[in-house]
Amino acid sequence: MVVELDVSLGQDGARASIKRSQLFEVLKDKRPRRVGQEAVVVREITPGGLADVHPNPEAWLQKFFPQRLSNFFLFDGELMKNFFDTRVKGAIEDAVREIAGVDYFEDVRHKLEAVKTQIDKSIAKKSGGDAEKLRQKLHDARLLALKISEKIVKDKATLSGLEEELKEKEGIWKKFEDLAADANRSIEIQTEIVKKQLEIDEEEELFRRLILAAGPKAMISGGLEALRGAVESAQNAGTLPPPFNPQALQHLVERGTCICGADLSEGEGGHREISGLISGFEKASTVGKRLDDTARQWEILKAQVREQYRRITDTNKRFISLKDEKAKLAKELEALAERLIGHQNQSAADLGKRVKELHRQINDLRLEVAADEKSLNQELEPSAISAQNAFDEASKGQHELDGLRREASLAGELAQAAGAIHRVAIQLVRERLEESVSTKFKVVKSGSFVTRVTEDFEVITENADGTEAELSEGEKMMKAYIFSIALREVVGLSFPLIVDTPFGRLDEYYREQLAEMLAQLVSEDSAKSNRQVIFLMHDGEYTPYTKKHFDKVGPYESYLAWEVDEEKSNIGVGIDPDWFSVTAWKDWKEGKIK
Amino acid sequence: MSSLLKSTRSATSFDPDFKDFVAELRSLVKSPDGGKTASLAQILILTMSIGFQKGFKGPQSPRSNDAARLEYLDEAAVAQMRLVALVDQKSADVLEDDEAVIDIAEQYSNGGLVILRSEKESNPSFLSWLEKTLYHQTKSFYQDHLAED
Repeated sequence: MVVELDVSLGQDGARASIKRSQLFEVLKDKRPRRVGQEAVVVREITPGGLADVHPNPEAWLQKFFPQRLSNFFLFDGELMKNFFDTRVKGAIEDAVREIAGVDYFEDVRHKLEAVKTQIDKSIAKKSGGDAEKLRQKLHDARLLALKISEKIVKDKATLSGLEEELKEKEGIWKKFEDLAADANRSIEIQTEIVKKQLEIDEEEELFRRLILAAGPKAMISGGLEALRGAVESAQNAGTLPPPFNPQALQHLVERGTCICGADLSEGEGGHREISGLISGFEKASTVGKRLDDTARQWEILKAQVREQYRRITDTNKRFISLKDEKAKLAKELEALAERLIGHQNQSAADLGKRVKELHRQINDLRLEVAADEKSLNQELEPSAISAQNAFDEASKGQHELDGLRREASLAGELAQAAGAIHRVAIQLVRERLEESVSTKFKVVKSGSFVTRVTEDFEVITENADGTEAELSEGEKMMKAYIFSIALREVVGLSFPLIVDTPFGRLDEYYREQLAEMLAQLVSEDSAKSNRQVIFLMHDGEYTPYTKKHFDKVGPYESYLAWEVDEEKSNIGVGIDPDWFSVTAWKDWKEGKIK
Repeated sequence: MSSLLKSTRSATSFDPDFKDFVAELRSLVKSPDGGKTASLAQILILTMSIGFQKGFKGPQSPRSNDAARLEYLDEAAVAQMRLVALVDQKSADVLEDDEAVIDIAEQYSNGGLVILRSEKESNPSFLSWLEKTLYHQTKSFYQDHLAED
């Protein structure tokens, strides 16, 4: 398969035809499998037609498209959501310098410094042997100071990278520590849940026993009114036994005395009275006695039911409370399990090792930088200044050298100015990037927040109170797209934004949200801009639900389909007709999806 | 141990058709006094109370003496049986004849078995239904007659 594109690169009107061939083999089931690719072929397009094939196409492409910028111009959608999570600050700064051409001023500075050195050499030659020696000394001192300065800058950059990595790793490590605590808590909760369940089972069993004891009595209790009536009737009829225990009374009579001191011996009044009661009980009917027993027993049963119901109420309350506690524990356990899923001990061990190593490296490097800075400030720079003074003194008084000295001084000042311009240019690009990103992001995400590009080229979105805003996956991806477009605008690069699988692994909701935002972004201020966005999407990604958003900006749709029967690829304009066999696309065709 | 009820039989009887169901019921319900399964006396009182509450009597059981032995019917059980008999006969005279009291208790018990088996067959949450029924009866009894005491 061959893909050939005519592209315009940069603003100087350079155009080229770029061709790349992919080699496929046809499998038994007639599906294609890529087996390799041929080298890219570049032919520049000149007013006279196509130029000859470029001898070194990769180098030619690099001229327009440096490798270190590829991360900002050719995207893999699946990685977009992590765009600002990875350590891209240095890469962004590099990209800005590269694209904005601000490194030119850095080159100028280096060249001017070389000129100054050359002039100093001439001065030394003309000044004689001592001046030459002093010039050499001055050169060595400057060189050493420069080397140490460069080493400090390099070490500081390394240190910054290591500190960044440590911050990131410690963040993850903190999560691992939390996970270890989570794991312990999970075990505790599981034990607590089992305990709670046992308590619930106990309460449930107690409830059942109590209800089985009280329930039947309560069900019969409707008959108590009849019992009361029968007792009253028997009482009126005198068939109820007297309210004494006849056996106990008989015992008193037999003993002839009472604990109260009354004389119960035969013939006494007390004896006669009690004997009368016993005789009354004997006369009471069997029915009366049984009725009396039943009524007395039911008073006991009522007291039992009262107590049992109170216990039932208590056990019910405990049961509900235990169930609630258990549900809370189960919920907590579920949340912990969610957090623990997918984490392995080995990755924790590796991470711990790396964190320890980073601490050691950072410590060593900090000590080294501090020592170098001390040496630079206290020894090397004073030594260079003193060498310069000595050299100036040695070459002084020679009239013809004054002109050269003025030139050397001018070259030095110009070199410093070039360095300052270089810094200002970077700052300017940063500010314009910030303005562009912030404005564009507001178009797609409403709310009171700002997106800033920091001194370190970190792209952060903050709420009104200065805290970092929480962004959804779709919004994070959108911010990355916006940054890329802003970069093009700020540095005036017209290379299109090309993204493979632009929605990555976003689910349907965020996919639609992102599609809407992208369409909005492309159409924003469209009269003035000439934004070109190329998305490469597969059939699972480009659905009628995403298309409806892109339709607002009039996309050019083209498809590439593998025709199994014909064993070849077909490229066509519009939507692949085969897609219309899918329900969603059928609905779209029938105008059901708007 | 002598029986509180005077009868020529040694034990109460259930409707023989419900022999298996009684066994099932014993394993399902918890014994109020902490035993693993409910005793036959407890099943007799439970089923009798269900039948009585619904006003449904079953057939008179043949005297197979295969249910609760009379000596296992304590004072509380006897008081409940006598109350059921008294209400059923609308007269306290029935208390004179313990045989009649037992017969009436058995009839209500058989009625209760019919109700319970039918519920068991149609309701997958039978036990829960039974517990709920007993709980609501207890609650009303307490609220209507016991709480103010």
